Amino acid sequence: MLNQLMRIGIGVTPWLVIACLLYVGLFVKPKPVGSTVIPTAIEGRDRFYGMESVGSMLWAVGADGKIVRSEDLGRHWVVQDVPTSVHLQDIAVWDKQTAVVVGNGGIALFTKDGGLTWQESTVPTNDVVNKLLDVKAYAQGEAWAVGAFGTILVSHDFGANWEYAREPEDFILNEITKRNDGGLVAVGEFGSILISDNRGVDWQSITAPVESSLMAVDFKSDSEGVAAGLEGVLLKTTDGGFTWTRVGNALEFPKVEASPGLANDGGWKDVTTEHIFSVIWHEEMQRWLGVGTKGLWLEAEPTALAWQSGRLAPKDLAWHTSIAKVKDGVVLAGKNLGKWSVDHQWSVFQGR
Amino acid sequence: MSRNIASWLIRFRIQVVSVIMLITLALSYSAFTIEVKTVFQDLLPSDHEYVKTHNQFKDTFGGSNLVTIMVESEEGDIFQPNVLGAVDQITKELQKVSAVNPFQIVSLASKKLKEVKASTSGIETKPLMWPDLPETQADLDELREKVLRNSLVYGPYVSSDLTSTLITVDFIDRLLDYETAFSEISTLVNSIDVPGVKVRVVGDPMLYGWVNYYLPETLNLVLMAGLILLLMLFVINRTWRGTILPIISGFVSAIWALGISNLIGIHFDPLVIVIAMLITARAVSHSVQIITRFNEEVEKIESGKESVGFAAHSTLSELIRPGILGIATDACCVAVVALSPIPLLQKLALLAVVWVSTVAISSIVLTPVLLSWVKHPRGYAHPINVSWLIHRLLDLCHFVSVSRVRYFMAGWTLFVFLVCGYFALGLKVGDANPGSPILWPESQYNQDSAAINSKFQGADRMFIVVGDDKPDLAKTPEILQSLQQFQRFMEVQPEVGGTLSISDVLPSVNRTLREGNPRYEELGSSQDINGELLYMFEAGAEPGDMDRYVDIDRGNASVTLFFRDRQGETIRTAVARIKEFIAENPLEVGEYQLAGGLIGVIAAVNEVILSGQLQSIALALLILVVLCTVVYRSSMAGMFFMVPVVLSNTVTFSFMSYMGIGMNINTVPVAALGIGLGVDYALYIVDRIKQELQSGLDERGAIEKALHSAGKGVVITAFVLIVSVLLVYQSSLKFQAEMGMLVALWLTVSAFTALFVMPALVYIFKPAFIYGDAKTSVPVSQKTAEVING
Repeated sequence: MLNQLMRIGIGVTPWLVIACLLYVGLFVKPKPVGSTVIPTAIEGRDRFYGMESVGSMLWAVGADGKIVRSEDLGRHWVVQDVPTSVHLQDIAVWDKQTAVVVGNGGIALFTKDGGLTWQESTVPTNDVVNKLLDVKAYAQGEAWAVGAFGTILVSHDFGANWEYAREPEDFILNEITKRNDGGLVAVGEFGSILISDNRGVDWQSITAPVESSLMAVDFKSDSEGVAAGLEGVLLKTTDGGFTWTRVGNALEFPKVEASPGLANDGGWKDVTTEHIFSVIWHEEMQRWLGVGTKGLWLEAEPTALAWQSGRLAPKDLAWHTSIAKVKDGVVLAGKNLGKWSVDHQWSVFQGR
Repeated sequence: MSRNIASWLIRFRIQVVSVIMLITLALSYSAFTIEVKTVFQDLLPSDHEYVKTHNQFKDTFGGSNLVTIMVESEEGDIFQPNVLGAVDQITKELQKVSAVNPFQIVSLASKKLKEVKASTSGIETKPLMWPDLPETQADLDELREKVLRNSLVYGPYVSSDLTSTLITVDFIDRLLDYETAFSEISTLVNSIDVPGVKVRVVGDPMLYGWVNYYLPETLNLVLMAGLILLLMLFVINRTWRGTILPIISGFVSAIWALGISNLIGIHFDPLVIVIAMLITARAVSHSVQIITRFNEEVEKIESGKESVGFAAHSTLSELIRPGILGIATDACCVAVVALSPIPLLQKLALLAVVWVSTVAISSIVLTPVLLSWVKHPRGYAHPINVSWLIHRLLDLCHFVSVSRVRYFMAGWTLFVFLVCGYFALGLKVGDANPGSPILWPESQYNQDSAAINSKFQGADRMFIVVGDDKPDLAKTPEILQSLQQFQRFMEVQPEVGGTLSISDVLPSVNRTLREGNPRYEELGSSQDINGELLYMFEAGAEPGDMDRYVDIDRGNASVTLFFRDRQGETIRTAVARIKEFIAENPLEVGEYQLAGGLIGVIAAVNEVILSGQLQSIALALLILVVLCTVVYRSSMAGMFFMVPVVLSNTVTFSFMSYMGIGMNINTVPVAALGIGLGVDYALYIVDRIKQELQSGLDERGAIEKALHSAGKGVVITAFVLIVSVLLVYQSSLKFQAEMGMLVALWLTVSAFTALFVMPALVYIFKPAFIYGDAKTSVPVSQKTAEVING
């Protein structure tokens, strides 16, 4: 019987093989399978506009709704889930758990759990253009934001609900800051400077000595502050922002930047150079620090009269728009993220 | 029947030979004028989705014949008058190169690379360097800065360390001739003799140009291989007939095949030379088999009564079956390649089928007929005798086949099959290593390619088209947004060096409009705003300037992906990711179309090869099985002859996998021919065992006889062919060298299987189709009866 089965088996096998070959020959068509690719947290295409730090925790926001957070001073990053894909322009934090983010389309997001969940805030909008460019956080859940169309917004509940603190007007406000005495100062397009000494109820417009856009402002004390902007403009105030004088005129920009700014054929002016996008007072370092286009860095002693400048690294022409303070230096957000140490060493954070 | 054919051929031998000679003469003209070239269009499977996209958009978004020239400064950055001078000179001279698309020459010195500037009156675009070279140090510094702040130039066209810059040039496909382009560009590049400046060139026209460049060397190697073959045949066979007839056979079939191919309009691709060698090796093999058998027939006849005519006749009648069967399997197996939608492979399959078929005439017919004229059948041309060596080897084969070692041999075969089968699974489709597999890693081209890919985003490009026929669709925020997401998604893959689309251009225009504020580096929120941004960028543009990004109607936009290598794995991963993105991010209007440019085309070819790979192997095996089943009227015969084929192919595939040789358009035909190749030797030996058994010898005697006659032919041809094919390993073309090695391996494995494994299997399994029906038919009918009764 076994023998018989074997013989039948042997008789059938060749035809089975032929049938299999025919089947494979006619019907089996493998499909290509690719290998998996794991994205890095920071990608070449990223642009970060805002950065904050708490101890060794760093939080950065940027283009296409990207929020990344590092717990170890930029060695490792985690991308956070965000309910939007619009450009996010700035972040402000109260502590490691609580933060608010603003961005294009007048969007604001807040978190109370370190960014595990981001929720959309309630923000009033106008019919023309809504784009929030800067946000600052202060004690007791107070937050201020400014942006396009003269928008000034305030929140008292850690960024969950916002309201207008001023009637909109057709110019852009780029940064707002609060002096230690509670006075608010905002700067923006066409050299605009607004001051409010009654928590945003009334705003006083100050005439600046320049007509170009001011991008940043910060105060060292109730009276001493610095504003900075396009074309290397640096202004200083010693009376809480009511009067400003230009400083740093003798500023020597790095060599490679010596010639541009003036066109070859006189008809037009190249305005894309030498911009300063952010300036801050660093209490621990006792210095004024600024960043801008093309890897520009600026530094001044407390009086803000003698400014130095240079380039972060010889071939790093990345722009930066935000500075956050960390131990022995600052971290910068912009076309790349990196640390600028007190002894002028620039190291770019990699994405892993 | 074979006896009748043999008688007829010998009787009309004068007529037969004259006809063959006349045809050979007639075809020689045609054969010697066959065009040796690579035709680009032949490489493309024209019905494939990607190739359709490629053909539809290649004139706008860039073809697959892009040549990339890198000008490198050996000291300092490129912003030196001599370096920029070289760039300028090459850019200008390139316009004179034949078939160049003058609107697709892009470099620092061309009008294409521009800067967008804000001005008091709006926005202005100016070429970075054109028309005048910077002269003063201030001008040079200014240019350096313009480059550094332009992300469309710094990175894509100027390396991040500023020491090198690219010039890219595209061709008009239908006018392009690889050889001309190669020689003109090489001359141009060699004419740049600026101290401190190094120029490197890559691109498919250059690659195939190199193949042509090495053609004379390849031909010399083939000639050398032929001479060595001749010499060894002479030494081993010791007769003039044993030396000259195989060569005549190979020569005649080559003339016929090339002649006929030229007549039906098939040209000869230089990379096909290996195939030609392989088939010629078949011709020589068959011829040697016939001569060996002839010698044997002569020996049989009593001394002094030799009749060469009779010997030739019996040789012919005995060998027609295995000979023609071998040729038929070869021809049919390679014909399967014609199922591929790639024209090059179709033409190649046709050429190979014609060629293999001519071997039937040149070896199986011509050789024995010519033998019938031999004057001194028992004489030797020289005293050196190595036949005792072959004899010893064949004795060993016999010992292995009939002693207990045969079980070990069967087990060993199974083991080798399983192990190699496992490794053969690792065989990759597409190129398995960076750089071109056609050339050696240390070749000029691959060195240049590695240098360019290390400094830049990648020299090889793929473009994806997004949109449809609706004009201005490419300006809508949805499409532009999707492009950005797509680019971000694709750039995650490390081998994708970068991507470029109109979505990169508009944000930077927008930023420039907003006083250079990076917070406004974003797309417009509506179609109108994007249209305006596009208009500003176009201001002062020339024809072709926008071609890299959008088509004339602005209905379709392209994303160019730059690849650092063209490995099969890289391309597969990229294509899979593109499809993943499209599936997860469906567009409401318009659609994504894959995929043009060189990488798009390679992706199509790889997919076609992958999809057809199993098919062609299965069909070739099927043909083999069916042919053997029909000829021996036994389905077991089909199974039996699968052993040498499957074994030689698994060994070879595992070797390819081990050596990192991928399945690509060049290796597929070699592999297909290899399938048919594996069986020839086994056919001669097994058929001879069958014949000897039928003539009344016992099985041990039959195996011994078969090994010492047919086996001798196998040893001789395998040995001389392996040695001559290995000579090709000296080729400057890595592809030729590797294929030479593969062919040698195929020959070795199939000879080994035929000599050691097949006789052992015959002795172990005693298949009915060899041992004759009488022996096994009784038990089978008995069993059947039992089944019915039981």
